[in-house]
Amino acid sequence: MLLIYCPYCEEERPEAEFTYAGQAHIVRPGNPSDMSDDEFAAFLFMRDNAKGVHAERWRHTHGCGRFFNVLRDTVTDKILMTYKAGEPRPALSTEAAQ
Amino acid sequence: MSVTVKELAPVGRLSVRTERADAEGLVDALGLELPQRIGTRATTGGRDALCVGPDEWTVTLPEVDCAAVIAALDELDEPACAVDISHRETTFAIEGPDGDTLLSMGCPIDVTAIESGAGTRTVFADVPVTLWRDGPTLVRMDVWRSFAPQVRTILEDGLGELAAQQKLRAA
Repeated sequence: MLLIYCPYCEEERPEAEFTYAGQAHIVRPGNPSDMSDDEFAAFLFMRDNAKGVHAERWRHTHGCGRFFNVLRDTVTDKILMTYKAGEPRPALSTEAAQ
Repeated sequence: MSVTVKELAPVGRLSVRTERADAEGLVDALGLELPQRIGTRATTGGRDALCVGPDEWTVTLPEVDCAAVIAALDELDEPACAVDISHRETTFAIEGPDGDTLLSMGCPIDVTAIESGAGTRTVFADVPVTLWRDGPTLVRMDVWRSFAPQVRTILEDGLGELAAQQKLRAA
């Protein structure tokens, strides 16, 4: 089981309390009517399939209930960093990335 | 076997949400000051508030007081939302030195790390629960009503297991 550090509870909690919520930092279009179907489909359906560090949203469903962001290595399944929703994706130091 | 499980009498529960826990009048309306850190509690005269999220609290109080508190919060300038969730949950009291062992059969967190007078929301055998530690050997567990029979069965299984272990040790 993964142990995930919740940036709101400021505590490490077991994965069982969390829900995965897809890729992070996807901006909703301000006015979807202005977009072509292809552009909208790209926003709606197309996601990165990263091999390595992936920024993703998680929700501490059975805890504080908040969404937050996680940097996880999809190869090792190791969680490198967690940060609050709304914060920009932090740069990883080389030690953390390894 | 040194642990007992008991379902407690109904109690009033409010889910309180506000962006500003220090808003004017909030203390008077609730009858207590809201704790600021997630997992901490404030207890005054039969009322008990647990901070479960950055803007969310669960307050237990006598059932008859719920309506008055909600009405008082409605009067405030600063928006605070209180919902009566008394009937959503039921409470099990788990008491005794082996209480933590019993809880750890279903809880993925380290329940011994919850200090007396603190609490947390977590899961017990995949069921969402709220744990309130009232003393070193006394934990209250709020469970959604519809999950209560399942949780009770799992707790009873656990009690049976503890009893069997004790029997083995005594033999």
